[in-house]
Amino acid sequence: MGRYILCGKEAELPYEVDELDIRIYTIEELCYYIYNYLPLVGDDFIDERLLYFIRNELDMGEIADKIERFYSSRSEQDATLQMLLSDVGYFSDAELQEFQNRLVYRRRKSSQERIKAKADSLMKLKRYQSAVRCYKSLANSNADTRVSREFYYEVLESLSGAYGHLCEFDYALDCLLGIYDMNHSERILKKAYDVCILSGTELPDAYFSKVPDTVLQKWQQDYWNRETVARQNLDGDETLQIFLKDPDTQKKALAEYLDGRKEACRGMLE
Amino acid sequence: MEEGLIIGFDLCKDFCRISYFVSGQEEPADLVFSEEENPYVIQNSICRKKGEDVWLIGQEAYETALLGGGSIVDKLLRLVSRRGFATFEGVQYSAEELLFHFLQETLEFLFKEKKTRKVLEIMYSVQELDTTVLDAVIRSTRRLGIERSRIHIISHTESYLYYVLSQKRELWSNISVLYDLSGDGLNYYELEVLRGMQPNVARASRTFLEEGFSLEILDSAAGRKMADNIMTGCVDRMLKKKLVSSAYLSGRGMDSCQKWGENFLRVLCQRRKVFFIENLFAKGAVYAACEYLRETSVYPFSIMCEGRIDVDISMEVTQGNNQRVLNLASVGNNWYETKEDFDLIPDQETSIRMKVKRLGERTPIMIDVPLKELPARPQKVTRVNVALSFLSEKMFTVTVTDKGFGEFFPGSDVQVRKTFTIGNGN
Repeated sequence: MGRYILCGKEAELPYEVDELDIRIYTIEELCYYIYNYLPLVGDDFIDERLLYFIRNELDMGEIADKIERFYSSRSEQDATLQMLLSDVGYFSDAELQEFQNRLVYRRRKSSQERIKAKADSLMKLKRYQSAVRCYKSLANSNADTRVSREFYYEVLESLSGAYGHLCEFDYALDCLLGIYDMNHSERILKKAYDVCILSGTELPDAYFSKVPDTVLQKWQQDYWNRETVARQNLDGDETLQIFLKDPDTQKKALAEYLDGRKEACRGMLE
Repeated sequence: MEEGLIIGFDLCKDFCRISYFVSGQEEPADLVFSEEENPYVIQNSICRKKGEDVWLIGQEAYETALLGGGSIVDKLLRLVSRRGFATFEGVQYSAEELLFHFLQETLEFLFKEKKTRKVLEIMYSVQELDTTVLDAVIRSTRRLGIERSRIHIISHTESYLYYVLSQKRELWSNISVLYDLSGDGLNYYELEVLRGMQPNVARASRTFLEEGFSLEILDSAAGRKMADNIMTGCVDRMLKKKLVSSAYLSGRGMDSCQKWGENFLRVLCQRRKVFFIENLFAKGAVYAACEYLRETSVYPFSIMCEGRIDVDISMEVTQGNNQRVLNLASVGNNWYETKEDFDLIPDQETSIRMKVKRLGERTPIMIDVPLKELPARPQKVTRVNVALSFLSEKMFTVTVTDKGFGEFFPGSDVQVRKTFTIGNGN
């Protein structure tokens, strides 16, 4: 059965979510963010800034007080988030149950795994610079013996992927070769080969001299095949589509595309 | 009560009158504009003095124009209604600009007289609720520095209703009637309190009488005789079978009715109390304005009259975890001031659905404003602004504007507007 959710006040000064580079203006948007981007919600999400936003910008002093009381007495962020979502009434009971399950699942993970999940989400959102930061923080703390080495291989592999998206091929290659140094995985070496071909970098002798020519030829053929498929797929690429539009729409679409790119570049400089 | 003026402003097509109330007074007082024949009336005319930035109104405007001291515009409200213009010394002024100067100069009389400029409430009383005029009056009054929340407008019918209900109960225990004879014609007003409803309903109506006559005929003996016959006939025909507690007379034609309406008054005064009230509509407007300063109404009625709506409009919404009914308009609300504006997020709904229930009807009807023209998005990420306003007592408009969902799903500003006519079953 349908319903109409009566909305509360819109904030004049929004709550900024750095991870998404997005501004939140209403309590419903805040709930939507928590529910849909849970991996991005860090352990320090409930803070003075959030409470100020809810209390002063959204005029929801009662909810802000409740969060403050609840959080200070239990220090359980997950339970507090659940209470917030339940009180606002934006989500149905079924959705709240599903959210609770995800919280339970999240709670079972170690802090490193949670950071990786956050970085993976950022990758999906094409926030590569922020993802690099998260992956690097994990890679730099590899002394933690509670997490398996395979976990760190995954982190480094993802980090190389993020660098690749940022066209930082040297760093991407370093990550892959670093993994190879530890696990001697042929799959990783093949990935390093791909990076070299893609960036036009000479194959480092120390790693590739021992690889038989037949294998290298097979990898090259495989690379070309994938490149051909990728080029074909470009026909549906949004960037190319811009140039197929009529002049007026094209101008607007180009401006939007460039704004997006500029935003990404600014992110890289942060 | 806070110190300041409560103003009742009877704004007719050709003239206006002002009554006011200050704390300490028991009855509203009438503002005297001049020592002329009718001191309480000022013509809706304005003149800009030649070579000076001075605006003159009423009789003074006519005199100045007659002596060549400036150009004049009369029948100002008609000009405002047509969104017209007037040119003084090569400068074109909009009718609304002239209205602003007219209201400014008119209220200046009162401010000077009472030595205060503080307005607690100002209530305009107009015969026709023409939105062009009403909007212009409100904007002009705001330019005078009066807050919007202190500016109100009602119909003459409603002014009359408030005036009568502010009198002793015995004067409205049965029907109360009013004959208003002015340059605009003859209007008949009737007030009745319908008991047995919760709350009781005070219903007033206005009828324009075709028998009305030009006031100029009162200048001749034959004309006066004819006027007497016409009015006697009206009273005889209209009130014969009615139980009337009180009858009121107002308007420029009635101020001399003792001279021309001997028979008329004799018939009217049979078993009824009859009053001639100067500034009846302005006084009624003052009584109505006082309501805005009270926490609880002194009139325990639902009010039904010209300018008031006879429907309840509501919709069911979710707020937090609670279901509640959002009242958008209620029986007795002034249509001009009934405006609602709020934001909703439809959840598994393809239209905005409202419940409309007319007074006296048992079953409400449901009305829908479809949302199919809005951009397609996942569920619950479309916030819409819903604005409801009335175009008249019988027509209202619902406008739904797409606001998107913050920066997650930017709004398109697409609007869907639907107008409904009350009583047409839609």
